[in-house]
Amino acid sequence: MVKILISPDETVDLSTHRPYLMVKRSYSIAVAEAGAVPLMAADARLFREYAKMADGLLLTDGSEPVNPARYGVPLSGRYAGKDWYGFGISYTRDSMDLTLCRAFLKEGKPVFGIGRGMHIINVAFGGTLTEEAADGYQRAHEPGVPYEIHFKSNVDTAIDVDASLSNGSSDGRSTGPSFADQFFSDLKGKSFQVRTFNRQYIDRVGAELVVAAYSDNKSAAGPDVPICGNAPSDRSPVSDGKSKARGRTVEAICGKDMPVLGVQWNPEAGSDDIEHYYAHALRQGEIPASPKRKEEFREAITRMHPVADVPTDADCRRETNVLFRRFVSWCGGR
Amino acid sequence: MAEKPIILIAWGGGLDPEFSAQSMMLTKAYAAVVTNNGGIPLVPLDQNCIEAYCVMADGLMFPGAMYYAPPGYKDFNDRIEAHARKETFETAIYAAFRKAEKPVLGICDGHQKINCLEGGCNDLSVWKKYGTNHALTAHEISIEEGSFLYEIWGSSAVVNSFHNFSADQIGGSVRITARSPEGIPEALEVEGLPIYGVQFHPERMCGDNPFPVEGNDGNQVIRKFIEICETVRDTRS
Repeated sequence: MVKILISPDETVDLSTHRPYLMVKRSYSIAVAEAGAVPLMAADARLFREYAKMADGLLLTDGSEPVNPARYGVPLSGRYAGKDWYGFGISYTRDSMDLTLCRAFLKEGKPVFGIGRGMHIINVAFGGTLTEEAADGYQRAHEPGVPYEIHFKSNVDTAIDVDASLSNGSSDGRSTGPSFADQFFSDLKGKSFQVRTFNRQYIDRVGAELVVAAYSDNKSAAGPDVPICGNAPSDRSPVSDGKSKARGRTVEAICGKDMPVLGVQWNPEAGSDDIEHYYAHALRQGEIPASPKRKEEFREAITRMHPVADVPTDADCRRETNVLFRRFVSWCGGR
Repeated sequence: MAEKPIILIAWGGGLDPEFSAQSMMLTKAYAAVVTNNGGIPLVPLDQNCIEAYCVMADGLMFPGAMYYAPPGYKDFNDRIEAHARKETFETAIYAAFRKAEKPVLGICDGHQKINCLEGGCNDLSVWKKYGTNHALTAHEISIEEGSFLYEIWGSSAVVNSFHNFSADQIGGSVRITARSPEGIPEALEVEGLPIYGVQFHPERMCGDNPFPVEGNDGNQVIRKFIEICETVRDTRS
């Protein structure tokens, strides 16, 4: 009986102003389908007990950006004056996620982060994040729209060295098969379609972490869209001083020798997602609220991504659920 | 020191306001009060894992809820849209804990739910039936001797109140152990089992709650329940 602790999202009941903890059903389904017992963490103060009791930790996605102060950047005015349920900072959620992440790693137990969860892992290892895109939706990828990610052939090398994509150790940084290398053994060199809702991306990758997958930003197509997800080349270990790395987003990270894994996309996302995209776009102010607009939105998504060109959700899930299954067996194999 | 008992708190249904995704929710106050009184709160999430949850846990809590009713409620079709998945989950996890004779505590809606699951049914308007208002108020209760609450507070206490429904026809093995002055069932126990229900909200009768503390200390109820969980666990191991 492998027990997976799931770190909850937060919200408030807008009628009573009572704070809630919350786990989307898709996470618990994904964990249960992979053969483990899902449990929601309920109190950050019990991080030691949780880390002893559970076999692994799943850090979930969420709309609150990680407080920049957590990685040494002053809190900017952009986040000030916003409630955390209006996409501002959540101090309590940052505390819960980071505390649990560190506690599980201290116990040597596996941690899997999705979206915001990956950002938390990167910050826990001393990495940094890009600031949220200025107007809320200038992103590397359209929210909820499938795009292609590429697993590197050798996760121990930088992503922008072409040679490394085919055979690995051309830059001499590879030090034999690492933990990360083994974890992704059968995904290496593969590409597949995923989707994300994130507005924030990894900037500098934390120490002891390697990039396992990346995507080419939409920004490569034109100058209008700002480059997201890549630091200036002089300070990003993933770009290795080559401008080619600009316009690429880190899509998966993995511990070199620690059992930790993070992905930018949402492998747990279900097949009824059109509703979710709509609600999300509505919230972002991308579209006005009306039943007519909802239909138009649905049509637009379908038009942009004809069924024939896009793998079905079943395809997406089959590929990405490999990660959940592997994570669970990894937790149970200890 | 013995290990802290694991207390599972059943989730409430909800929609993620951002994605409108189906979510499982818990008011933080329940988790906080369990931690404050020496338990480890966790939320069970999957219907297919109920046996595993029952094995790992030392106790189960049903928290309060709004707009939810199992089929034992009167006027079911008119008044309430039931949350079918939540209902299925709770029925199954209650049956598992009951069979394992492990402790269960129901609060407010949870208290009424235990009555329903034991074969009783609930009334949907305290106002209509008793001519009084039990939302956002505090009142006295009289407690039956020898009951769970009697051991904590003696024969009377002042409790808060946040409900419009009440336990009405009482399930076969349920005993009402406290009543308000109007006769509303305020606490119940299941005969021969460590299963308890309270109509008031002990988790809001303590600490830095947004609702004022207007009565006895609610921590005492939770601590007593957690002690029972420990005792049951230790006597069986």
